[in-house]
This record gives sequence, structure tokens and C-alpha cells, in this order.
Amino acid sequence: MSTNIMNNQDPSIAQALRDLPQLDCPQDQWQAIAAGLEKRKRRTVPASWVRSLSAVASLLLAVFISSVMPPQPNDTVEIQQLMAASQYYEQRVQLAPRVSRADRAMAAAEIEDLIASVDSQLVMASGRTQQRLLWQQRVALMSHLVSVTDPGAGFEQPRIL
Amino acid sequence: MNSSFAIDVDAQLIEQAARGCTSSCEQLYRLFQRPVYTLAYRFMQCPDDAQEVVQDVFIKALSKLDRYRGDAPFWGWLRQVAVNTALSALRKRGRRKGEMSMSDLLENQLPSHVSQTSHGIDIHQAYSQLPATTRAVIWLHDVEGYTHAEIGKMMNRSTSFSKSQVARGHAAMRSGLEYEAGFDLCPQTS
Repeated sequence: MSTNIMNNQDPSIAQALRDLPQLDCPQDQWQAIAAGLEKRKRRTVPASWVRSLSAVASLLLAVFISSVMPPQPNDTVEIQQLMAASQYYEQRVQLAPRVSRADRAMAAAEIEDLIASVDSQLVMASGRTQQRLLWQQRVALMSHLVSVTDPGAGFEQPRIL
Repeated sequence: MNSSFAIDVDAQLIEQAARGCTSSCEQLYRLFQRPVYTLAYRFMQCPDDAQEVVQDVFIKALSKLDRYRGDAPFWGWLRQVAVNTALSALRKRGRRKGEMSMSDLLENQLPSHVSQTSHGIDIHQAYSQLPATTRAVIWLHDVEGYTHAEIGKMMNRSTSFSKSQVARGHAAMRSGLEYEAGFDLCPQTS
């Protein structure tokens, strides 16, 4: 059944979606964007919680890598392992109950922004070593996100392929 | 397949924007605001959420222009920032509100009020009623031309996940459209 479903992709629906018109933003966003850019320029010292988060992420990364990742001379293999770990955490986050506490929701949103930033860098990463380091950061952030979104579940090491 | 993001940009304009020239940054915003908003709206299906994504995309991209290396088209880089930002916004919203899954949708059957346009169908309506993740996968694949492997990677899922989301989403849209329009919109060729 799954094979049939996989093949059941409809080119005419795809074409109809491509034919949908482009949309204009209801409001001009430039002033808000310019203000946001200015704010970023002024923010020379990160807020304390960002520094704390980075420290926690670094610590988690060090602990995580040293405890579960055997030394791997081959970046490609290690990247695959990190991708699997990241995917595992993504699934944990999806299964986690909805965050109800405001402080946790805010922390989760900020961690997700950091993850999005790592994702953007991953797109531009040229070498395997750089990719590996970014995947390490992503896994550390994902594990932290799990601990924020589902604190009752406790820490569980990811399954490594 | 041409992405609506595929707009050529003068390298000098990017350099000036990277140096902090406000008017160059604004020019880049004016050039790309429509494709960014369109993608954000198609993912979020809410003008306010989409506008928030647009702001985030341009603030991130314009403040990190120094990281754009210039060995690939600028639009591809910006589009990737937009996709990552929109996916992140979807994840956040999904956790806040809860999102219906594709399985939920198939179990509950489709859209009860897919409307007809003067041409007989409303593809936008059928698309907008899909679960958020399915919408995002379908848009990235069908409109932006990403491969299933690329989509799987971006969403931290498998290639098969992307394939099945597209196939199930198409099936759901087709059955909804057929049900309402009373004819076979997309006859199977085989």
C-alpha cells in the first residue's frame, strides 16, 4: 500500500499550485525590519539568558559527545550519527506535551531560533568538518529543547545508528 | 521549474547591504518581499503569522549578509533562510496550538466546504485545509522544486516521509475537489 501511496503524486495539482498568484504583504514591513536591524546592531552584549543558554548548550555538547559519540575519524559517518540523533530528538519534541508555562515556552522559542540559525549555517557549510561541528551544535540544542519541552521525561540518550 | 525567488541581484547591491547601507537593504527587501511573504503565507495560512515570518526572515538575512559567500545565487540563500524560518515558526505554532496530522485528516475525511470558483475548483481552499506539515512539504516540492531528499533533510525526517506527505496530500486535495466539484479534476493516467 505504501508503494502505491508513494507513487500517487499528481502533476496537475502541482501545476495548479504553481499557477497560484504571488501574494503581497498586507502591510509594508520595512520600517519594522529596519528597526529590528538597528536593534541587532546595538545589541553588542548578548542578554544574560542567551549566555546561559550557550553555556548550557556547550556543556551538553561536551558531555554528549564525550559520553555517547566514539571518536570517529570519518566526518561523514559522524555526521550521519548526529543527523540520526537530531532526528531522534525532533521526534521526542513532537511527542512532548504542549508547553504550558510561559517561561518554558519562551525558552523553547529562543532555542528554536538558535536551531534555525544553525540550520541556516548548515546550508552554507562547505566542508564536512564544518558540517560536523554544526550538526554537533544542532544535536546539543535539540537535547536542550527536549529538556525544556518535556522536563518530566528525564534525559535519555539518543539512539545512534 | 522556476522559483518565484529566482531574481537576479547585482553583487554590488549585496556588498553595500552587507556593509550596512540601509537603502541597499531596503532594495533587497523590496525585491524579495513578495516571494518571501507568499511562501510564509502558504506555510502559515494566517496573514499575521506570515508577516511575522517575513520580518524574521529579513532581519536574519540582512544582519548576516556577511555569511553569504557569493558562490551560489543570492536568491537560493535567501530562500533557504526563508524556508528554515517558516519551518521553525510552524514548529512553534504546532506546539502552541496542536496541529492535525495527515492521519487525522484522512480519518475525518476531507474538507466539508471546499468551494467552487468560476473555473469549477478552488485549489487554494483545498490546499489550505491540509495539515500544516503536509502543506509545507507539498509547497517545497511542487512549487519550490526541492527534492524529497532535500525536504526530508530540512525537516529532519526521511525521504520517504516527504514522498508520502506529497502523495497523501495530493490524494486528499483531489478527493476533496472531486467531491465538491463533481468531476474528476486530475484523472490518473495509469
